[in-house]
Amino acid sequence: MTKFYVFTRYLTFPGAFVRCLWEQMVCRIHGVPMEDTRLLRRDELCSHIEHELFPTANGAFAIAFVPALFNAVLAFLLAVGPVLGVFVFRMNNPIVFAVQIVAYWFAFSLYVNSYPSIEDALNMKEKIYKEGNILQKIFFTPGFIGCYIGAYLERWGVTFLLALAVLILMLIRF
Amino acid sequence: MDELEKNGLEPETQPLEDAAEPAIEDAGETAAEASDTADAAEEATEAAAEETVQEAAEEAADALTDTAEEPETMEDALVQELEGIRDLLQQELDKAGDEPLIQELDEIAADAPAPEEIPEEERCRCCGEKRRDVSFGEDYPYCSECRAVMKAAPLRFPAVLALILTFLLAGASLYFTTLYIADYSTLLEGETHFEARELTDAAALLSSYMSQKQGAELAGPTDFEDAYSITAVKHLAETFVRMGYLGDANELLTTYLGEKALQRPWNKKYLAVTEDYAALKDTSTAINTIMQDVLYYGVTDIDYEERDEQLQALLSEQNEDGSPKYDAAFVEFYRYVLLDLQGEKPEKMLEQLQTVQNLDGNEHEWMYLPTMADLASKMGDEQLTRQYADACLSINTQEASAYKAMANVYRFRDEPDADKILEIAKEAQSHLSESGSIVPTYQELFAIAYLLQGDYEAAMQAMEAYMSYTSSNGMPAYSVSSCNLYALCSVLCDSQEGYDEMAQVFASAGMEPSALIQKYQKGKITLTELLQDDGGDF
Repeated sequence: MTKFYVFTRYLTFPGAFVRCLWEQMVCRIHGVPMEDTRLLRRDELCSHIEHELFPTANGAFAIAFVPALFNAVLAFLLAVGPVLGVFVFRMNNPIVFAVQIVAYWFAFSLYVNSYPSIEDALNMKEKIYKEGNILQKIFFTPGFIGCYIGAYLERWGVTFLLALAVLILMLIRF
Repeated sequence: MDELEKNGLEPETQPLEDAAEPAIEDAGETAAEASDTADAAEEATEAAAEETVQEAAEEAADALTDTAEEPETMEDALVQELEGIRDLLQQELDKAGDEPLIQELDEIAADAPAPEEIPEEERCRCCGEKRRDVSFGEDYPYCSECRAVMKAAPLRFPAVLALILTFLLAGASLYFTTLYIADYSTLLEGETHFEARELTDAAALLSSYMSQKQGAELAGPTDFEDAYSITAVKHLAETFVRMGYLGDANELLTTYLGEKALQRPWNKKYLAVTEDYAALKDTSTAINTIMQDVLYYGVTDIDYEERDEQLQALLSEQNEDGSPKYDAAFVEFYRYVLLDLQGEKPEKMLEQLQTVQNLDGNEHEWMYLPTMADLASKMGDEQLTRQYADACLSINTQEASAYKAMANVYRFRDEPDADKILEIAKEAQSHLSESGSIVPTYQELFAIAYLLQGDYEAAMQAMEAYMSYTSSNGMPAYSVSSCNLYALCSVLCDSQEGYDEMAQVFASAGMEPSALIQKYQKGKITLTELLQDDGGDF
């Protein structure tokens, strides 16, 4: 499973790089030491920064949710053009087609690499629901659910397979 | 003197300065060793101590030169000189020991144990030298210095580059998207119509889009103007196929997709369209050689049986591989046309079309379904009419002839049902949009229903709405039935002007308004009899 996970990270390295950048920035903002900042590695922390666990609920939520949010927003911005221009309407212009195909690959990779590592997801759960206050529990729950489920899906390579399925469906449908 | 000689010194008397030099050097070394005791590892300390000793030695030499008393012997003089140097050096060292730098270095040297003194398990996991900072927890693996460095780990260049590229790509992608926003809007609308099986609207919209793109290409492609949508081409071709415009579909596909693209696996169904068109074209050419005078020149004085035999002969022709040379369903359809021209009963014609349907395998439903619905309505079979009409509407909800066929069931009854016709007219109106692409034939149904109810004014308004329709190229949608209905409504509403207008329209085509209107005016037939005329006037 780890081999497949690492394989999908290498295939989608632009998204992995960007996610690492967001994680690193969140770590720096919260003053959390980063033990290993390699972008790609051959273990389950591939495409994640190895850092110390965040001591607060806000920090634990930020390291899981902020990179996911930013990657998702960027993936959406990148996917709009290709989905309309390439998959739905197939505009017949080679320059536009080429740019949109690369944009779609970036969008694909950003989505595939949007969710946090399982360690971060578990730490988020711990900090929010054992140490967090009532407001944190209320406001962070929707984000927590998405990130928590997504972390496991990503770890098993399901997000990659889902994105691939959507791509195939679009190719068949249009 | 003997020791001096052993150490290589000359027994002769020497100047004090010269004699003092080795002693100064020895004293310097001694002093350096003394400073090493403070901190042998620290070079700064050593350098400071050496400098101090050098200066002290020079001062001592000067002092001795100036103040030395005459010694009794050379040996005494040397001893005295060395003692003086020792005292001075000691004074300087004492002075140096009082300075803050030396004190600080001494303290550090005293406090910090050598690396080998820190147990392995207490050392920082990162640097391996310093002690772990247990203030962050008993098991915390790093020293405070390493922790500080890890907190400020520099951003990775490839990650920054990936982010910049992401933004650039997003910008480029959105820029291209905005260039086509008008196209997308039109195409989405066409797609919506296509999905809703509103084929007439879809065809009108997509045809308009393709005409614009074709115009841009003819004007010379600049930048992105030649970027038509392949999906629009495919949808329009599919729409044309469903509506029975095979020639247009074939032209679209061969022009915009091209032979090469049609050969690709995912374009298989579009290749099938062009192949189907080619096969039907061959059949059509063969049929035209038999039926040309009837179909295009309106010749009716023909031997129908002979023509029918000629058509049947086409069915038996085969290709070299033994397959039928012509499309059997297409040939059988023209046998139905012959029956229609002969004025055969609807039952017989419907039977012939059922043969066509069985042979066709529902590939060209546009060819026979609307006609079958019409024939069933003429037979007065409500259930069969509804069945064929529904089949038509399941392909295209804007198939006006299907609504007309359903309405005719209630119109041609012994007791016409105006309410049912009105109901169907409303249903037709809801599907035949007023986008300008469809002739509002439902207004005819409204007019007939209102006439049957005796509401002539409402019937007149409906027909005025119909007659005011103009197509996208500005042409009215006059037909024999609509003009006759308008003329009838004008008579019923005492509008001679309206009747004269229609008479002019008929005259321009070398025709006259229906004689049934005159008969009705003379009281020879009732309005219901007039509207149930099956001659196609209304």
